[in-house]
Formats: sequence, structure tokens, C-alpha cells
Amino acid sequence: MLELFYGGPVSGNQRFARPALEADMMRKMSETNGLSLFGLRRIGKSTLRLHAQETLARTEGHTVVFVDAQGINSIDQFLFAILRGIPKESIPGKMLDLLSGNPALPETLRNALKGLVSKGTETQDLISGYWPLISSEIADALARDRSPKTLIVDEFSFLIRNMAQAEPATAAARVNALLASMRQWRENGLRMLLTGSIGLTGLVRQYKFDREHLNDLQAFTVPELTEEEARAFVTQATHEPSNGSWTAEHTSAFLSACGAFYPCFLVKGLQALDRAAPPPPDTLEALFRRQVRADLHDLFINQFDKTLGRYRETDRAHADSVLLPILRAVLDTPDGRPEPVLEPSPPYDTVDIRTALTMLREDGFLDRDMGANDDRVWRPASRLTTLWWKQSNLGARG
Amino acid sequence: MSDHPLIQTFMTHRMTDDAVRALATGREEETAQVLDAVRRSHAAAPGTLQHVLIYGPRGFGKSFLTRLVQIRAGDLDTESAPLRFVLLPEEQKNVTRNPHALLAYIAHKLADLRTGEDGSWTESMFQWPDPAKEAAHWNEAANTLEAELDRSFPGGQGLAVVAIENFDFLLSSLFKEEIAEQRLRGWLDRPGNRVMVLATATGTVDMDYDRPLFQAFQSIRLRPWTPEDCIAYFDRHRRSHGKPPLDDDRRAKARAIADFIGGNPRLAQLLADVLDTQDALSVAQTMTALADKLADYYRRRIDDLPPLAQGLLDALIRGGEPTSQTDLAARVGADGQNAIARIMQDLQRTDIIRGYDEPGGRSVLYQVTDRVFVHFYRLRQGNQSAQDSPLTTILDFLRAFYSRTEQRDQALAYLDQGRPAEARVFADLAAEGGGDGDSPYRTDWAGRLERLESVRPGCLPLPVAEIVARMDACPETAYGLGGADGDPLVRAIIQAQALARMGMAEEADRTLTRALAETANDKTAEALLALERTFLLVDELDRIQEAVTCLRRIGPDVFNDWPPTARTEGLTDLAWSLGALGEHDAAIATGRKAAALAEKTNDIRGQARALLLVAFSLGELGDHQEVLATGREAAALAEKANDIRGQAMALGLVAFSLRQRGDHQEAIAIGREAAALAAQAGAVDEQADALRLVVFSLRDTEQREDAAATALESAELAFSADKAFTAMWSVSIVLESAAETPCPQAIALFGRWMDLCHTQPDANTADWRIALAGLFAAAARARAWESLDALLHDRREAFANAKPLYFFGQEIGRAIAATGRDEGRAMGFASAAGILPRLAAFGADMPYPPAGFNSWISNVVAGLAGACRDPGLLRDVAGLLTTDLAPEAPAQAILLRALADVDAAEKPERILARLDPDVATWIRRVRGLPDPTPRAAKKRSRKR
Repeated sequence: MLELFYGGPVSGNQRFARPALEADMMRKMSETNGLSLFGLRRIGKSTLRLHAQETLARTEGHTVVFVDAQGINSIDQFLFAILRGIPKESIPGKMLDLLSGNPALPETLRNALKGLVSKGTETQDLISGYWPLISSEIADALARDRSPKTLIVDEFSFLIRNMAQAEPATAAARVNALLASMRQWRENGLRMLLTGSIGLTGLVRQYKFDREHLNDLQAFTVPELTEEEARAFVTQATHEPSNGSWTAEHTSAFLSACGAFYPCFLVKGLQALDRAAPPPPDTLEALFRRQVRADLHDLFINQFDKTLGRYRETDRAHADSVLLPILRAVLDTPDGRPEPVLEPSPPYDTVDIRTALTMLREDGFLDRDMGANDDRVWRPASRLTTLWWKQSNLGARG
Repeated sequence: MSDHPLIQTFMTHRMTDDAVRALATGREEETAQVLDAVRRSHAAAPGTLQHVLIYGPRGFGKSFLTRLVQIRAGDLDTESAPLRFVLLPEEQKNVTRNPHALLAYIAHKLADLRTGEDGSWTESMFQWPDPAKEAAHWNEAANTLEAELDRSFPGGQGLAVVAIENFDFLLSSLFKEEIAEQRLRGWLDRPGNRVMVLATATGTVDMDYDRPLFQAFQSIRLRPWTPEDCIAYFDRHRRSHGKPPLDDDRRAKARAIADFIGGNPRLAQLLADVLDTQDALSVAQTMTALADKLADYYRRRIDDLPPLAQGLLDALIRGGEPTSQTDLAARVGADGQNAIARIMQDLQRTDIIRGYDEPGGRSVLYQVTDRVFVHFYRLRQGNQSAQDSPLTTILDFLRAFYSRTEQRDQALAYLDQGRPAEARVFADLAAEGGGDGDSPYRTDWAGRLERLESVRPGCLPLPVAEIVARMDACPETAYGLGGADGDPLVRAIIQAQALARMGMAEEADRTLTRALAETANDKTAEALLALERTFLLVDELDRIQEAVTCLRRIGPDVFNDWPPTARTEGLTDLAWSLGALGEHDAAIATGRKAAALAEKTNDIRGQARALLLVAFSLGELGDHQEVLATGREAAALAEKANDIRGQAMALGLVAFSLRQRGDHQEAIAIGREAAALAAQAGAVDEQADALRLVVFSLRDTEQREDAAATALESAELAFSADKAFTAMWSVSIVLESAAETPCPQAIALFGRWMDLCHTQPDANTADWRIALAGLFAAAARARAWESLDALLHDRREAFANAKPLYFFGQEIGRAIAATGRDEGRAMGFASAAGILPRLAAFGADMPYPPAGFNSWISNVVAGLAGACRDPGLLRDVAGLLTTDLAPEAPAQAILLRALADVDAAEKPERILARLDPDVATWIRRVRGLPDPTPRAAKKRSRKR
């Protein structure tokens, strides 16, 4: 039975398995330096991330370091979070022990590492000044130890934004240094999974950080559940508690009322009703209207407006000449738009268009799959996007 | 305050478990949802836990629910998997500015639960904040809390449920910085979690997409109590105070309270004792005391709102409720409904306002949910009427709390106590939906007072004009003008008039009846009272038979001793009453007597009035020749006396009789003259009546377009004066005309009629449902499909909710025939092709189709068959009659085709002879053909 949970990442019997998606993710993880997984909030990214984390941890000899970047706004804190996340018994953990006693390192840094290793406490001494040294020490250590290792950073875009906002004057230098280090670590064998609910490409562009350091990451997205998956989700969550009184008719009515097939919509709807004594199917529409769509639809649709507003605030010309035409090209086409989505028009070139597509993908507007001829076809990321587009009057007919 | 039946508000944290259990009401579903989340978290811990956020306006029982969950969650506590419930105080001033202090506080509270000590009181003291070290402090506090959890749950398994009230406030103060909120979110979602947060909030916590806590909780929104919840609570409350459960009467009152407070549980608690109060002023004082007591609470509810929401709320209350968003936007000068939509949604979400469908309309109307709040707002925002009369702001409550009878009793009681303002409030409530503002009983009262004064000089306490002016201005204060020691006759007449104007006609009748019983041998007083009561019975109470009985007490001789004018008036009133009662011979004799007396005293106006009454009764008796003479004489006299309205009425009678005699052209001319005079006199009813008479004659002479135009003119008059009854007659004749000649305006007019009936739903208002078939006939004749479809769609609820009345569809068939006749067969066919499927769809959509509707198709066919002489059109329409419309349609098609064959035949009888006998009989009836004469049987010669 699927145990319903709302509000955070889930695993075990709280998780609805999506085997094909999960396998695809693990395959891409193993074939690349790592994945960037950015998209709308509450669509299942963290659950997928948690699944990857658990799967990798079960792999013998694989070290997984997990960092929740929420609340972190400096390199120091980030480094401590990484070091805290290293399992003591693992090879990197032993390396950490060695590092903290390495006389070649400055005393401030050794003390900081010692404090962390011995007492789990963080020093307040700033160590970011030693960042190039630390970073290269880590890179060297990674090069020496070829055991499989993965760094998973949840809400990575929060970290970047927090750093940008904490000390705006020096933010670019610090963030670029961090991104460069992380790329170097990846090249030395530390695979990464960076996730977040703010599109990283848009954020980097907004603050004019160096995007080059992210190019080696492959983008991955969490698609909406298919209708078949959504049906299975609802069935798994209802069959046992209802003792069979939840029927296929209930599921059909539930799905047609749902509006979007993201797990948060399904769970919110299911939590609002008594699964042990299901209400008549024809009442589900009203229930969704009142208790689910009334909140969630508006919130997500407003978010698209807000994100578009942010794009315009950052670079009005780019938004109007590249982003909006791309949105029109894709969202006004019912069957999806094969590449090239938009012909470049000076001063914007194909790289600008590709970057714009990545931004729109990471912010939940668009998604991409392979068409019948192995060409890339761009589509609305979800029903929510389609709904927003209809309401926005931004389309060619709007 | 102690004088008022208020009970003390309770602190749920201090209530005993037993008290919480005993008073728990109406939150079963929400409690089950929270407990389910606790159970799931308990099973999952350490792991991913389900945090819960209970949303609800202040006073909706969030704290109570938290306490209830605390008690019930105790059942899950086991040795192997302990459950600790940390109920933080309602406010946490000690943690201000230090986000990490919240985690430290939870750790201390958990330690208190483990040790039984009260260490958290001193250990959780406020510490000077150091923002630079907050990140490290947060991690340290989180680690300390984990260490305490290890101590509290030595076996590894276990769950701490931390209940944090006013979480929205905590969030906006303690976690204002986004980075602090990110840490909180990270802490809530950390792996291996053992702390489930159960938070309560009034404002939003997890609804802002850009904030870290976006959708971090399972949110549960507390709904207002239903009336049944309120009743259950009142019963529990009474039981706990040793009182019996609510009886039926008090249950009705409990519902009124539930409505008034918008299902707010805290107010239900505070108003529980009002149920034992009958005195309205005491209730009002309780409300005011309540508003005072809840001033802080209400102020906070207002302060919780953003400025624009506060502004809209103010405009809603000041400008009058309920209202639509569109009207409210216009009221505040906003740029359309869209501009205020989101704020209105927020106001609804916080349950400050509630929307409901406009009865019979398309709009959603909004009003403030909690009426005590409105009472508070008016008092505090300086509404003068709220301060002058305590009852005026709680009308909704009084309306529902007291039955009609109780409202009238309260009004009389206040009148007798000399509290006219309060009496008026109740009288208005009792009179809602009824009463007639311009009945002759009221409008002719001045004349009757003049007569009273002339018959009993000096009996009136004030000049007639002043009495009438006071009565017009304020009947509740005029009620006492007769004085306690004055003439009982005068007192009764004044009191009765006041009561009637206050909508209490029954009480007025009791007053006059009582006075009549006390007149003993005073024949004059008896006659005056009997006339007064007759007017009351006929005009206000519609009790004709009683009026007859009352009038029998007066003989014409009673007036002999009266001054001449009073005598004329007395006889005229008597004649009018007799006419109104249908005793026309007596009315004519009495009227003629009055006219003769008036002539003798040179009272031309009185003579005209008397003759008008005579003419009316003559008309009722069918003596139209005599009406012409008497009516014309009455008109001439009225003109002489400059009584234009009287002249118009007299000419109206003449026009009516002319039409009855077949003198249509003259009837039309006189009718138009009567209408013009009535217009001059501002007498809308008479003007519309006269125009209708003109319409009849125009139709009789086949001047159909003029008839339709004149009918529309008559209807417009009725609508412009909001006269539903007159509108009914006028729209009816518009529809009749519209079945004969294209008049698309009839459709919209029907809609206006529906609206007027909705706004004047009293018993005397004619109902649009009687003319439904006329609507379809008008649409068929004008082929006004768009208008008809729009009307049926826009008012689908009104149609669906209408109680069934009969539906007679022959006029629809006649309209199709008229179209074919005037515009050709193709148009006749188009008319039928358009209306038939609409009729079928209309019937299918109506949950309770009107009587007769099941045979609509045979009625339409009968109407068409009777009026149509075009065999081709009959055959064409027959082709439309398929089972899609109705199962019996093909059978009706057979009839029409047979009729067409008969009509087309040179020798119809030959065709008829070969038809099915039933079909043939139908055709004979439709065409008025004689039944065939049975052939005489030949006598057989018996062979020998």
C-alpha cells in the first residue's frame, strides 16, 4: 500500500515507484560527471534524489555525501556541510582524518577540520581565504582515491542565491570559485547530483556568474506522471484503506478532477477525503475545486507569471526577443516543436537560444523528449504550463 | 458585564482532559486527519514525518483541536515506541530574534517531560541575539535536540509531536529572514527525523511559492461549524450546566445563532446563554457586550488583513451587504472586478466573508460571515443608527431568532412600553415580504378622518393633516396619538392604521374588532368602525367574506344624521364596499343614493365618485348600455371637479363596455383618452388598464402590430413603476399579441417579469410560470431563438427551481400557424423547426415539468391543426415530429398528415371515411365537421 505523505521527499512505502524514470536517471548518473535536476517545487525532485541517494549508498564501496544547502550562505558552511556528510568509516572519511593532521595545511584550517572530526563542531574562523588550497587538496585527494563517490546537493540554487545575497560585492568571485572547484572535483571523479527548485541557469544568468563551470552536467527533469502512472498511484493509495470500495470509477473521476498529475496534487486530493469510506465519484470534482485546485493551481500559475517577470527584470530585451518567442513557438504548437525551435536573430545566437531553452526547462515551462526521428522535440512541461499559457494571453492569438 | 448572559472564555491549555472530551464538537473529520498524520509519523519515526498545519480563523477552535489531539495521541504512546506531546505555550516571547532558540526550547520541554521538572522555564530564557553566529547556533541547537531525543527515546524508536500555535506569527517574526526559514525547512525534512510539527495558523504559512516552507505541511482547514454542530455544542454545554437539552423552539433559535455568528465556535460558546433569553433588548445588549469583550479579537482579525483587504471589507460593510464583486469594485472605484478578485479570494479564505449564489440571478453575492463582527464594526466605526437603536445592526439575527408571531408580539410590547424605534424594527421584520404601501385603506385615510371629525366634531387630538403627516412619517410614534384617555373610537382607528402600516394588519384587525365590541349602542361609532374595518379587511387582509359580515352591521339609515358631505362619503364608501363584495344591486342603489345626495349639496366630486361606482357595478352586471350613460356622466362630472383620475377611471369603464358591445373603434379612442388622462394624473395602474383595453379592441379588429406595440407600452409602464401585478396582466397580453405578430421584445420582457416576481415574491404577485407556453409561442412567432436561448440559459436555475404550474401549449401551435399565414409556409416551417426541439430540451432539463407538459406535443399539434389551413405546412411540420422530440410524436405526425389530406381534398368526407375512426373523429373535432350519420340498417326480408 502507498502510504500518503505530503510536504517532503519520501521513500519506502511512502514512495510511488517510477522504474523507467529511476533507471534512466541512474544510467545517466553513471555515464556522466553528474546531473542537474532543477524544476518546479513539489513535483517529486527530492524524492527522486533520495531514491538515487539510497540506491547509490546500497552499492558496495560507493560513498554518498548528501548536503542540504538550505540555510547555507557561505563557502565555509558549505564545506563544513560536505565534511559533516562524509561517513567516518568511509575512505574519504579517513582522508579527512589525515587532512586534519596534515602539517602542510595552515593551522587555521587544520584546527577547523580537527574540530569537525573530533567534536562535530564548526569553527567560526573564516577559511574561505584558503579556498584555492582546500579545493586543490580535495581535488588531489579525489584523484588519489578512485573509489566511487557521489556528492548530492539538494537546493543547490538556494546556496548560490544565498551567497549572492549575503555579500553582493564579492559574490561573483566567490560563487565562480566554488563552481570552478566543483567542476574540478567532478573531473577528478566526484560525481554530482545537484538539485533545486530555482532554475540554476536563470539564476547564474541573473547574477552574471560564470556558466561555463556547469556545462559538463547533464540536465534531467521530473516529468508529470502519465495517466497510467497516476491511475496506478491512486489505486495503490486507495485499494487497501477502502477495502475495495474505491472503484475504477472513483479513480477516473479523481483524475479528471485533478488538473495535474504531479504527486503533490494526487496526495493533496487523497488526503482531503476519507479513503476508508470514499465519497461518491461525482463529488470529487467539487472536492478538488475547493480543497486542491483552489490553492495549488493558483500558486503554480502565479509562479509562472512571477518567473517571467523576473526574466524581464533581469534582461527585458532577452525576455521579449528570445524567451517569449520560444514559449510561443512551443506552447502554441499542440504536438510539440522539433528543434530548431527558433532561428537565431542578431544580437542573439544559437548559444543564447540553447541557454534560454535550458532556463525554461529548469523553471518548469518546457520539457524535451526525443521525437520519432530521434530529433529533439520541445513540449509544455506539464498541464499546468498549458493552463497558464491559456490564461496568460501571451500566445500568438492572445 | 455581569448583567449580561456571557460566559467566560476558556483557555484550552488549562482545561482538563475530561472537559475537552465533554465539549469536543464538530471536528471529527479534522481530528481524524491529524491523528492519522500522527499515527503515520509515529510509525515512520525515525524517518520522513508528516508535519501538519491547521488553518483557521481566530475563534475556530485551533487550540481546542490541538488539545484534543494531545489527549487522543496519548493512546499511541507505548513503551517500545513512546510518543511525547510537547504543547508549547500560545506565545513564545522568550525565543524572539533567535531562530535556534525554538529548537532549544523544544529540547528543554522534552527534557521536562522526561524528568518531570520545569527546567524549561529558566533554561529557555531569552538570549541576546548574534546574527553572525546564528548558523552555527542553529546547528548546535539541532544537535542538542537530537541528543535530548536520544535520551527521551532510549530504545531508538519514538516520536515527539511539537504543537506550535500561531505559527504564522512565529514565522513572520522569528523566521523572517529567508535563510532562517530555509534552515527550518531543512530541519523539518532532515533524514531520520523524530520531531513532527503540529502547527496552527490564521494567516498563510506555506502558500508562498517563493518561501522555503512552500507546501511543507499537510494543511487542514477548519471549516465553520454547521448549525447542527452548534446545536450539538449547545446541548453539551447545557448538559454540563445541568440544563435540559434544547427543545424544538430553542433549536430554531440555535440555528439563528449559528447563522448569525457564521459558525464561529468561540462565538457559539459565548452566546450559548442567549438561548434562554426572550427579551430582544437584552439580546442586543449581549451582542454589544460581546462586541466589547471581543474587541481585541476582532481588531486582530482586522489587523491580520492586508490594507487593501481591510479597505474592501470596510466598503462592503459601509456600502451595504450582500453585494457582488462587480458592484463592490464599482463602489470603491476599482478598475473592474478583476482588480479586487484576488483580495476577495483571500477574504473568503480567511472566512471573513462568504459568497453565495444570487437567488434567481447569475451573480455571486458576498457578505461578512460573522454578524457580531459587523455589529462590532458598525459600533466602532461610528455608525449612527447602530448607536441610536441597538437592534438595527442585528436585524439578521432577530429575523431568524424570533418567529413571525414572536416578532409581532415584540413589536406590540415595545409599542406599549413607548419604545417606538424598537417596535418598528420588529414590525418591519414581521412585515417582510408582505404589506401594500398604497392600498385605499391607507391612501384614503385622510378622507375618512375628515368624515370622522365632521361626524364627531372635536374628537381628533390633532388636525387631520397633522395626524396623517405623522402617520406617514412614522407610524410607530403615531400609534400613541389617540392617547390613553382619548376617544376609544379614535384611538382604535389610529392604532389600527399604525399597525397596518407597520405590516401588522392582523393586529390592526384585532384592535378594531375589540373597539367594535365595545361600541354598545353607539350606532355612529359602530358604522365608522365597521367601515374602517371593511377597508382593512378588503385592502390589507383580502378577507372578503368577513368584510361582508362586518358590513351587514351598517344600514344606509345610519348616515341619516351625519352632515351631508359625510353622509355622501359614507354612502359612497358603502357602495364601494358592496361593489367590492360583489353585491352589485345593493351597490348601485346605494351609489345612486349617494350621487343624488351629492347633487343636492352641489358636491360634484362626490357625485362623480358615486356614479363611477354605479357604472362599475352596472358593468359587472353586464348592463353595458347603462354603463355608457352613467360612465360618461361620471366622467363629465369628474372633469368638472378637476378629478382627472376619476375621469380616467370612468372613461375606462366606458371603453370596456364599448368593446363588450363590439364598438371597437370607439372603444380604442375612448381607451386611449382614458390612458392619457391617467398618465396626466400619474395613475400608472389606471393608465396600464386603459391601454390593455385598447389592446383587446385592436386585436379584435386584427390590428395586430398596433396591439403588440400598445401592449408593450402598457408593460413598460408597469415595469417602470415596479408594479408586479399590473405587469402580470400587461405581459400576458404582450405574449398573446406576440403569438400573433412578431414581437421579439416579449422575450426580454418575460425575463424582466421573472426578475420582478423575484423581488416582489408576495402572495399577490402574479407568477410568470402561468405564461411559460406564451413565452415559447412568442419566440416561435418571432423566431427569436437567440433571445429565447439566452433567457433559458441565463435563468436556468429559476426555471429548474420553479415549482410546477400547468403548461398549455396550443398557443405555440397557433403561433406557428400565424407565421405560416402571414409570412409563408417556409417561415412557418422554420418557426416549428426552431421551437419543437427547444420545447423537448426544456422539458428534459426541468426536474419537475409543469402539469400538462407531458402532453405538450399533442397540445402544440392541436393548436396548429386548429389554426392552420395550409396542407403543405401541416405535412412539413408532421415531418418534424420524430421520436427525438417525444415518444408520441410520430402518432401526432399521422394526425397532421391525415388532416392535410382532408384539407386538400375536394371531398373531405371521402378521405375521412377511409381514415382510422379515432383519427377521423379528431379531425372532425378540429375542423368542426359533423359526425357521419349512421346509415339505417336495411331490414332483411326473411325468406320464407
